Amino acid sequence: MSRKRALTVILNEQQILKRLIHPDDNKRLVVTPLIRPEEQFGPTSLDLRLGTDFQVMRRLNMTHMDVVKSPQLIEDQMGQSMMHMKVKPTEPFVLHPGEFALASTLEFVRIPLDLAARLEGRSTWGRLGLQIHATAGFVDPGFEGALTFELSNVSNVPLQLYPGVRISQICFFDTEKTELAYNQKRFTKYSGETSTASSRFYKDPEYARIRQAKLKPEFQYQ
Amino acid sequence: MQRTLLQLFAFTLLEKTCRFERILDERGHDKEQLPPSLITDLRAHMQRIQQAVLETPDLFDTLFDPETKSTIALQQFLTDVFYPQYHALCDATRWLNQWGLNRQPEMGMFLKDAVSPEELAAFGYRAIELCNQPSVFSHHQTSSNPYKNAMIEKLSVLDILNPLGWPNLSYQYGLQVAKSEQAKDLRQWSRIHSALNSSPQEKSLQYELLAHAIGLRLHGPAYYFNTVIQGLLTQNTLTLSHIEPLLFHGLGHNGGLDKQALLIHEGLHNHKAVLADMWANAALNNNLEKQASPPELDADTLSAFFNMAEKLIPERDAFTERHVERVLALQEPLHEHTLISAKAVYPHQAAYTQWNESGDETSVYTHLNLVTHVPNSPRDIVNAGWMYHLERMPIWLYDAMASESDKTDTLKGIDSLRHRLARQDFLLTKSIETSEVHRVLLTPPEPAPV
Repeated sequence: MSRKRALTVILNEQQILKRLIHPDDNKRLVVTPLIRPEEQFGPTSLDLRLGTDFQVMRRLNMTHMDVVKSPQLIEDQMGQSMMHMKVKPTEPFVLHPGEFALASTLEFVRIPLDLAARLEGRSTWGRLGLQIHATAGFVDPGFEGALTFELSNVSNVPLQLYPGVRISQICFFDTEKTELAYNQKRFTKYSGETSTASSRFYKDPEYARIRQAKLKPEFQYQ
Repeated sequence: MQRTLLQLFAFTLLEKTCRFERILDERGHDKEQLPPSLITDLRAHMQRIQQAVLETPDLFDTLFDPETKSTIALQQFLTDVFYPQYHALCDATRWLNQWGLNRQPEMGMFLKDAVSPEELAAFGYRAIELCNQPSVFSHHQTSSNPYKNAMIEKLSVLDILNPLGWPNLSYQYGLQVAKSEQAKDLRQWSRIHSALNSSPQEKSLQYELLAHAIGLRLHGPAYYFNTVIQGLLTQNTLTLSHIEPLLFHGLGHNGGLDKQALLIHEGLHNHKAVLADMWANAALNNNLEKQASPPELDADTLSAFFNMAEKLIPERDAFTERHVERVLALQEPLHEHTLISAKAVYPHQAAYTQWNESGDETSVYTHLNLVTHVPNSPRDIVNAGWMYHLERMPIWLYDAMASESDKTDTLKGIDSLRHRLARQDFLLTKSIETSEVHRVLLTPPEPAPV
């Protein structure tokens, strides 16, 4: 592989269209379904829609999230505290002021190895106080599945969110083909998910190391 | 044939235990319903069933090694392993029933694809409830029903998250149509009644058969495979002569899925194969065979059931040849684990060529039809799911059993099977719900005020 770097550019609408119909499987960008492309295409972006499944954290019985408990215990705690909801296509999910919910794109997305992407909100919804992600808007080459939204309502009125509504936009960056696809990374946790996935932070290897270190005398502090 | 059947039996038992475990995973956090110690017990129970299959001596070689000398006989496997474990699994579903029916919205989307709410209303109303007896399959048994217009479909708790089990939920509708005045007016019906006129039990069998023919007309091969596999697995005695070639084509007999065999229009013309299976299963369910052999149905009578179904279910509601091409086209994306809610109007190659030929000055906005998708119907999605499932079955079974031989982690293969099944279910249900959102968004907007 050449180590010379070409200029990384953001794809314009012509390049996005060409990638969507590319006959080479390794070059093709998959975004399905594309329901009304005339409404979804922007000069350098493609609008994505809200899916039907949501997860909200219940706080009633939770004092805190102990991140160094055993993965099984954390998984149980997450299972008990995450409320899963599925809304019907003509019914809204209501996000109240200050509330946080996980959701996902209606679309399935597969990014080829020579593209990266970034998910952003739309100003239409931003003006109403909807944020679609907290920190995780970057999409690695090789990602496939539904993209997760970390929804927050920072306004002071509840927002009705209907499935299929365009709440986000994705833009693509040309890059040299990466050595490793997202789904081949050793600690990949979310590849291939077609619905909303909650955090699997406890699978990060740091926690196993911290758990072990806590037991060792040399890491006991006075 | 024996090997294919053995694969089917072994796989289905493992598959159902995985579905059971998935429901424990999904709902096991609700400790108010089931105490944690019971959930632990149920998990151990499922593992015992899985071990009983995985550790059956000679089973792996019989299933996958054509050169093997020591083989396990089908009947021996059924008696020693399958039926005892199947009943143990069946019995355990009573605990899951306590969680009640938390129906997936996609189930309703699937059912209304074949029968619209208006058409349904003409025959009564549909209620879906969990099987009140422990059951691994959503089944066709008619329960006592004091409500004349109610169609009470029985759903197994293991099928709540399994779209492949949903075609069975049209059976009571088929029965209601079969008993309707509309059906009685058909000439063939009176001819069949007079030709086979005998006990009330046999008459009810005729209604059942017409209900199955209607189910096939509505849902295509998905209904057939669902019903016939269930019929095969729930008999306590297996009559091999009743197993017709269509099932074996679907199961990839002699290697590879014979896609032609899945074409429902071919199935519809292959009346004898399809209905003979249904007839045999219905007869066994009704214990008819123990008393006397069910009457032989000649080819004309069998055809008459399909003709009646064709008259009762209009072309626009039927699963016909136009669906078949679409179902076949969904295999490739399914193998790539891609959502199959919709398909592009233009194939990639044709779209790419057209775009390249359009010249540099062409506006992209005049060519967006090249990337536009149209929604697939839930019936197409479920039928494609069945084809994929049957094709994958021997491979997934091999992987599950081969991992077992690695004694360091005996249930590693089962974990992988559980993951694959869950992924398949997620993909199909998400495809169904996404296709419905797609249809909603294609609705023309209300006219602007003048």
